[in-house]
Amino acid sequence: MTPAAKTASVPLAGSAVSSAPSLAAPTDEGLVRLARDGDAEAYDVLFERYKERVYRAVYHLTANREDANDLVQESFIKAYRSLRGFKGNCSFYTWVYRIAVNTALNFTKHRAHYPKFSLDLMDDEAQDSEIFKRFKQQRTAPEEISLNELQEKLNKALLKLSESHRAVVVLHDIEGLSHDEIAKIMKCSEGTVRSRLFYAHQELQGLLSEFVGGPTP
Amino acid sequence: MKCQNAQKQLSEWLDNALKPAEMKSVGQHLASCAACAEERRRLEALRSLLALKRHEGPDPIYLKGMRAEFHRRLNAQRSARRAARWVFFDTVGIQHWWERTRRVFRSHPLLALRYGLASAAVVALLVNALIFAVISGRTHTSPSGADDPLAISPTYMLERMPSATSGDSIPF
Repeated sequence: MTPAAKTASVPLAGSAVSSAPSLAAPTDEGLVRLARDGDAEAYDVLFERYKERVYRAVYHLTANREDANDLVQESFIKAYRSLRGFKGNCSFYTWVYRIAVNTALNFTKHRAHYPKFSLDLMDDEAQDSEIFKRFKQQRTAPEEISLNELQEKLNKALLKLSESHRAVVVLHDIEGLSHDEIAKIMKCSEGTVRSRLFYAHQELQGLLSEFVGGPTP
Repeated sequence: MKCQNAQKQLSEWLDNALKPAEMKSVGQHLASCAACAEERRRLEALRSLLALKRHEGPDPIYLKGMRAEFHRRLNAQRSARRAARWVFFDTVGIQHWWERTRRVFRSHPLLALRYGLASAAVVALLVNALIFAVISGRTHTSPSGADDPLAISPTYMLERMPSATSGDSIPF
């Protein structure tokens, strides 16, 4: 047992999460241990803690809100059933995130319908974000383009990529995973990830040339 | 360094994920090649654009019902498993298998056609084999050797009847 897990188990041992002292938020390790022992409320806390982050990742991969919702539920159910097999070599979030990404990739590989982006909201911070400002400085398109318009064009361009190319772009450029992590998740070599990313970038640059500038002659 | 190689390594160069020697050579190439420097600017712009998607998120109202839905599904699966255990039959597993198979077949109709034809051929073969086995079985058990496989000759019956003089007991 890790020292962190020991300290986490002290205020939570033998009690439901809701009745635990609220001075410090219970750690993931402590909650996982309680959930493993059958405390459903402990798993609820983990679910609440990570549902949004997992949802975002799955949504970017599936490009559809309803599919993302289904897959998030499925992933958390899978994780709950496999809790006994979770050895704690990585954080709970990393573990459940991998389950969700694998579930989503498996789903997109076999889905019959062509996805249609059901847009999720861009938060208020996006307008004033450093990324948007930097983008505005770099771009060559007319200034009056709105954030929503931009979001729509970006999503349409992403949908034109093949599933494997989109997955690599999402995991690398949106989710911020390294080539190594992507290769492990997608069960392919790092070279394949690099190559897919290169060609996906080329394609996206062509599709979004009005924002990123024309190709080099 | 060739432009093509430099451009293939650009993404990793921007991530600072190359080996020090490679970082240096790509950097030097970018400083001396206008076309690759422009390519770098375009890639940076694309990455900034893609990073905007990190701000996309579900409606908070929508997230509220998620936990209730999670519990509803978990309970449904639990009771299905319990019922399956009761009848010693993993219906949930079969349902999952069938769902997966349906998804694959929907997205690959040619594959579905091939599997369909193969299954039909196997079923036809089995039915033929069964019919053949039944018919040939009846023919072989027919003791009379007559054309009619169901006919039993009277001599055959007489041979097997217990003799009245032998003293053999009749079991009824």
